[in-house]
Amino acid sequence: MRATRPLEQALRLTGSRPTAGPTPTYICLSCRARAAPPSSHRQLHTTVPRAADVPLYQRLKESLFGTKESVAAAKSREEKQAQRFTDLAERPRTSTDADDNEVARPLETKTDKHGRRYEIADIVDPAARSDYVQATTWQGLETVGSVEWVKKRADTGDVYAGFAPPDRSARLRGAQWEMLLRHVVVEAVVLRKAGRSAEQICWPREGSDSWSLTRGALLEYSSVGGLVATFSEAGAEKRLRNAIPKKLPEVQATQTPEDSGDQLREAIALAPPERPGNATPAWMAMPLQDPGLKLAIIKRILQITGRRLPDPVISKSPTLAHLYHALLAKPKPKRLAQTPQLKRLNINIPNATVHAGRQTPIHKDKEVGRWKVIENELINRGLPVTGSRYQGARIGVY
Amino acid sequence: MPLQALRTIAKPQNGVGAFILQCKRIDLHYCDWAGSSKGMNDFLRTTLPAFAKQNPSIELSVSPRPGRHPVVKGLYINGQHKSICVRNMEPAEILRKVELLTAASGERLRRERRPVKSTNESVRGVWDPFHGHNYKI
Repeated sequence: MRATRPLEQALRLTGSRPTAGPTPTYICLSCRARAAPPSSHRQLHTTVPRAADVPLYQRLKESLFGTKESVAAAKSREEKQAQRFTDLAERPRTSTDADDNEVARPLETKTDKHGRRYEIADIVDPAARSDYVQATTWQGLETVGSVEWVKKRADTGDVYAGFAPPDRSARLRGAQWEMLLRHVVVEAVVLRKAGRSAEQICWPREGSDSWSLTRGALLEYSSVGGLVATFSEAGAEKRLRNAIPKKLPEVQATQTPEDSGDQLREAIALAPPERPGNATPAWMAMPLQDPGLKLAIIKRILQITGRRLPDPVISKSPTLAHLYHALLAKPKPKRLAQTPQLKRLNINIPNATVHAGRQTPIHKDKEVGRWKVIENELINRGLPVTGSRYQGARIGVY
Repeated sequence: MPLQALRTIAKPQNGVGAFILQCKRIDLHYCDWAGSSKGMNDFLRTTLPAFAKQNPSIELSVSPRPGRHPVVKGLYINGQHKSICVRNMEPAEILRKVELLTAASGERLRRERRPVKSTNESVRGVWDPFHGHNYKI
């Protein structure tokens, strides 16, 4: 409305006026700007052009009661809802399956634009069904979209089953490692002599007396003949050969941790006394050029003790003696407090103390005996001893 | 006039009669993971045992502080403490810092404005206008 007056004035000025005097030739810039079409106007008009056509009372009425179109749309939605209720009420609640048994009617399914199928929940008209009771709490109702719901539907992927038993090799001494290595090598040599693959020593086998059989064997190495195992007892070699399975069973039974623990205990119990110095027996000079033999020995040691050797160590071990020293080497301590130097510092020097964990103010209070007083007082007052009472607080952990 | 004794008492001075080391405890903190603690870890393994034997009156406490730079902290008899961050230092440098803490007292570092500090009075006496030069106006 405000813009129309200057616009009218401008049009009057620019339009033809036959009865008036000579038409003015000069038109000011502001009149020209106002006479120009609205798209070329640079000023922001505060009045919406549409609002200029619709009177104020009508705009108020529409904002309070809605326009004709919106009223008609709401009415049509209500009618459709009512129609759906009546349709559902008329449809049978049960259907019959292939065996003519009555089953509950399945829910209606639809497919969305991404191709996913979803079920439409049944509409219950409380007015029609007297047995329907609206729930006041959510106990027992189906929940959708919670963390548990997502986890249940999510694909858990492949379940991984470990192949190596727990590492029990930390308590083995040099002589015990030597005995274990000797047992494995004797089995491998016996198989190689019979023309069988050394890998067969790793195949699952049921209870056998192979430990006692290998103990009676004598290992001799020569650069010409290689490693040879001779048995004092007649038939021991054959029994040992038969104890090792020739075929892999169809259903592969993995060795249980109890089996490997029993074998290890047997090895530990019958180990000879420690050999002085770093000297190794002569049979350990056997070269491990055959990768199949090397890997079979390492795998068998892994099955019995759970000890894994790093790949660089395996590749840099040309003889059995190198493998023996690698197995004997203790793993490097992961923390400085576990190193022998700091352990000695803690023990031998009276004025030095080495703590394995971070020292907190609570530790300092405990040293001077103040902590028990503080703790008792906090408990008496019902306050948390450590931390605060937020959800998931770790109470009682120092 | 009877002889009168001086109304003064002996002023205690650490080191005159007996010497008490002011540093009573040194805490050494290291980290197993951080690279800045490499020198400190080597110091703890190699140099600290000898230092601890040479200074039996100082309590040494070694404890990890995961995820932080290595620190050496000295606690003194007057209750004060001094900390030095020894990140990226070699064992020899760390030893110098530990010796610095051992030799220090808990007093704050302050700038000495006077060159001489003494409890003795002036040997030449305090100036007075009645002795010395006679000015004639």
